[in-house]
Amino acid sequence: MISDFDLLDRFEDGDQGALEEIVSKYQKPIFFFILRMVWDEADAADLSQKTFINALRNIGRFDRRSNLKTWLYRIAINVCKNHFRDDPRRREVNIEGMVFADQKNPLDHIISEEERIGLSLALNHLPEKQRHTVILKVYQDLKYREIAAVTGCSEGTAKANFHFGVKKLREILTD
Amino acid sequence: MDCREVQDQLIEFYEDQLDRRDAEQIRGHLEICSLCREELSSIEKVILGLKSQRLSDPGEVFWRDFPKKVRKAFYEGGRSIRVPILLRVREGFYRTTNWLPFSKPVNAAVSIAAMVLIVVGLLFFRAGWFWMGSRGIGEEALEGYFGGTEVIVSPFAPGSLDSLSLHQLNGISRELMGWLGGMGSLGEAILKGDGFLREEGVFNQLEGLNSTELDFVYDALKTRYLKTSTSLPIPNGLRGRILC
Repeated sequence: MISDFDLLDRFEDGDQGALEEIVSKYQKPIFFFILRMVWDEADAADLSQKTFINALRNIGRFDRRSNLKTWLYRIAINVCKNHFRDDPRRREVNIEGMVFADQKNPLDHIISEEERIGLSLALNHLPEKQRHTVILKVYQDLKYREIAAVTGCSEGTAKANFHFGVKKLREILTD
Repeated sequence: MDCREVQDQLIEFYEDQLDRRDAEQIRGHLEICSLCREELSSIEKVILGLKSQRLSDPGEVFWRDFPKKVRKAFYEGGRSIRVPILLRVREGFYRTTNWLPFSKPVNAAVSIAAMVLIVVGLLFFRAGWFWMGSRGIGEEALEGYFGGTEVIVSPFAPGSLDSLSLHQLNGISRELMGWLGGMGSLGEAILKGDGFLREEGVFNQLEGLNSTELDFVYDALKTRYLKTSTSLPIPNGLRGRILC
């Protein structure tokens, strides 16, 4: 399997195919991560494109001691922040109709449709760092070490953010 | 271990991230404590509830084309263009640079009409700007343009806030931008929003207004014409004089 660094070397040598390979590899996690932040498919597509372009235009700043995936998530977060800063009304999202039950999940019966929507809304209203951490942990399956690299904090803080985020969601759910 | 210690580690216990000794202690506590068992069950419910949520997938066509779009935008320096909602095509809902050639005649017609409107708007904007510039700066030009008495906030027309209406402001944004553009340093300061208005000397030009009122005017201008958000309430003194 070709490593990210090989792809980046080829990209820096002007190989356009390498760019497509990088995007193909990470498009789904980045798109769905952004979608969970902005709750609008069209915006998520635009912002995903912006994320890849920003990342690749600034690839000289990428420290190869870290990994490309966390670098992309980091840029995605900044792109989303700018998106909301440009128009704060974008935070008023309509989640209903966007979240579905995963039919393949045998544990799906533990939570009702109403609770599912409630959870998504509550997640959306968590403090920024906690929200990013919960999304990266639960949906993107990142390790605390990786979340720390994305959000620019220590591993301990990433754990604490997840802990407090889940606790708040639990309180909301049980209210 | 007491309940508090156990509850502090329940998430890590649930994620199987504790060392064997700690995990055993928590397991032992859970056997005798229904409160902590309930806590664990609610944590489980939140995490599983979140995990069971699925989002709609944009589809194979999207994933196949997206890398090509990014490559094209990257190498051609293209920017993503938001296509109006009328042009959205469900299957390929993301709209970037390649929205030509048009897939449907109606899309083409709407797009061409939009482009014509944009071009006409730009030409009109340029003409208006030039016209304002040619008439000079301040009250005289504004009176001439708006038909006399309805002068908007202007340092050259003290007291004219009587006629200020946000609806009016909204309707004449283009003209006011032209006016600000021709106003020299004060106009530039408003356009840039750099706080220049807060300097004492400039405040004095807006006679009859106190600093709260000036802040509101400044913020209203920014909100309406620079597309920023406003957080200032309308000052009491101005409330009677402004139709909102």
